[in-house]
Amino acid sequence: MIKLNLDFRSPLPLFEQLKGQIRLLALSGVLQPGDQLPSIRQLAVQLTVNPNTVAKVYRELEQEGLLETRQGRGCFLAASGKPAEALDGERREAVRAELRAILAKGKALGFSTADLVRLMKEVDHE
Amino acid sequence: MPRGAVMGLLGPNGAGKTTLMHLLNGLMPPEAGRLRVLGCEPWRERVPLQRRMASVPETPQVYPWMKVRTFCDFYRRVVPGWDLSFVLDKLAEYGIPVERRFGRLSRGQQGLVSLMAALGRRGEVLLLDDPTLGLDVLARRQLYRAIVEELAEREVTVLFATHLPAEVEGVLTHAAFLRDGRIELQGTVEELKRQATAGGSVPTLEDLAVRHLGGDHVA
Repeated sequence: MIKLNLDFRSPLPLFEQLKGQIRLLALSGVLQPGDQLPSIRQLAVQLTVNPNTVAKVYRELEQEGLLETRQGRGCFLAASGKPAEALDGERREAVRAELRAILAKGKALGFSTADLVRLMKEVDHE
Repeated sequence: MPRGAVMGLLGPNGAGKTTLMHLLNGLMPPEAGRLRVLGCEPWRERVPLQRRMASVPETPQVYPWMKVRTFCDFYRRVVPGWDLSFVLDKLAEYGIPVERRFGRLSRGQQGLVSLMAALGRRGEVLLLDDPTLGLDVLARRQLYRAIVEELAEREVTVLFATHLPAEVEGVLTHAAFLRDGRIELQGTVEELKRQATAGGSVPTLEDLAVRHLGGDHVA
């Protein structure tokens, strides 16, 4: 069972959150090429989300080449044919997406970017 | 509601959720205004419409002395097109003992039987009148699971009255907020949340319910 968390207060819609987290699991190596993902139905039940949302996430990740559906067998993490630089770019984009959400939240609470950088260092040292 | 939508119907007790469900089921005529389900008028075209829709009432309408299996056989005889084998498969999957009397089942199991009986109609429209009311968290989970599985299997348009929007927010595509017999606000979940977002702070559906319906909403 893969671990995914949904945040109903996030400015990102659910399907963007799911997509980002699955991408992150792939980029960080938690999911390896050839690993099977839960079926749309299983993941929808696990998270109590609309199966159409999961279907949309899988469809888009498949279009991006991250996932592949094998007829009748399910959905798998695709063997990545991408060069290292492209993967590096994706890793950066994944972190950027998370940072954008944190920045938005932090600014809403009145912190400047500099404050947030300081906080991040503090947290890192905990 | 567009076809395939799953709309949460949120409102305090007495707002009119069950009345709306009764109207949609054709159990009473509207005093004013117009009502359409699948293009039909529920009160005038109840019989043909009932073959295309299903409804889960707030409390299960099953005789407590009746065995689940007897209830199923009875249902198959009186409800045209009711899918007995689908229902028996589902009841087995959820571990419901069909030889037991309905009154001897747990509340959660009774809720599942009531839901499965409705799903057995294989309707295009499903009305859920707060089916998790009074159920513990595990029983609610089972019910959500059955609903999500149904959505995964076929296209069905759902009106889902609930006191627990936080638990089903991920399933809902739309929400309507009902107060004193009027829809105060409705739209897609994404839209409603975006409109209410202020300074980067995004409200949940439950926040919106509290804001629009008053503090007595959350049970």
